[in-house]
Amino acid sequence: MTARDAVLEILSENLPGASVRSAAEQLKKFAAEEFLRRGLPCGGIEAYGTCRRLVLYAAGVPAGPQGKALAEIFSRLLGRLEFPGARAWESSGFCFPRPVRGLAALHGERLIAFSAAGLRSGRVTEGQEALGPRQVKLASAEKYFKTLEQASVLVQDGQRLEAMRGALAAASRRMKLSVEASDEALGENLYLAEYPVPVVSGFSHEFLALDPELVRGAMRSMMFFPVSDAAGRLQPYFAAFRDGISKGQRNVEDGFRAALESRLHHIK
Amino acid sequence: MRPDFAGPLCLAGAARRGADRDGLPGLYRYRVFLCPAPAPVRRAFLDSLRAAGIDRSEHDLRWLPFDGPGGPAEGAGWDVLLDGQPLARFVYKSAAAAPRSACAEIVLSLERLALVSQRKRAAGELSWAGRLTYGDLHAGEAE
Repeated sequence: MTARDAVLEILSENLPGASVRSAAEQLKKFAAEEFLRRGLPCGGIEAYGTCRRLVLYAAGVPAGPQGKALAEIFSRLLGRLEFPGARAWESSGFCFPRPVRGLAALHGERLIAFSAAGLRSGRVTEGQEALGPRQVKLASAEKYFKTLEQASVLVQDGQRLEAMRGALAAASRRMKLSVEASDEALGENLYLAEYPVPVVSGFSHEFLALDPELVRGAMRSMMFFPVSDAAGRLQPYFAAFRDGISKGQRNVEDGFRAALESRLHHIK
Repeated sequence: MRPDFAGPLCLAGAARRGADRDGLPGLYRYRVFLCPAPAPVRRAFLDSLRAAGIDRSEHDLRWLPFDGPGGPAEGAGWDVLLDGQPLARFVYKSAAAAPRSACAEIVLSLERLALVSQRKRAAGELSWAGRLTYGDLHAGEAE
């Protein structure tokens, strides 16, 4: 019997970054336990998260009468997830940090049918929210990541991080300056956008008279990235990420600039 | 005399009074309370922005999650930033009568919304009614 991959996606309203990280770790750990407990072999288990979805991906699950076992595993997994202070949103009593809006579960092309959080699992999900309400049909588990990428969602944390690093490096080259992309700042931005698009803007020279560390602190608190020259001197520019698309960049650049300058005015 | 509403996207005059209350700029709020909140409430909020003249694809909408002082059970929501600046606060609150459902409260800064939908740079230039501007109405209140 050929082995097929299995995928479970929990679509939710925007989650706090810390919840996503913790949930992805729990999903991976509990899934390994549940597969083992049922003696269901699989080639590998990974879990991913974005600000709007949690995803479990199990590679190489043997085909055959596994649908029922997978349905049980998936619904048990959801029941085991724990979040500090999470609450119930509907009558099933399932607790989550924010309301759950969709469940998708596939094994190869087959739907894994189960119910949780007052929802029934299906084979549709949503793409990038900035592009408007658009349903995305999933043909198979194996095509999950590709399909979501075409809908402007980078599901895999690592891929999103690489895209962000690449974009900031390109911005640095273009400006012939250096964007200060610390791991911490990147980590915070990782759960802010499903498809990070870079925005580079500047601020008034007058704020360079302030203590550079205060200015850097103000930028970091807004999840912006400071820009410095080769000698490490702060420059009147910054980089940031928006979600999804690069239309109307001018609006976003001006808005981010106004937001930062208003914050800097308070420091002054 | 007309107050000086200088600077980009300036909310001068109006900005001070509101800022401490709910983190939103301006004097005027649009407040919606839905109890229990229908499942597509977030979608309805996004649709209402479009109806108000904000094209999502031309702007960035950032959802910064926050929990109430007693955790999400007391209040779970987001500060909604439009192009990096506070536009609205969207909070789910518990309903005493129905602990397994939630009410949604959406508070929106009308100045911020009007600045974007009227494509103005400063609050003072906002059209209030006919030729009367927001600046005329709030003359003397500016910093």
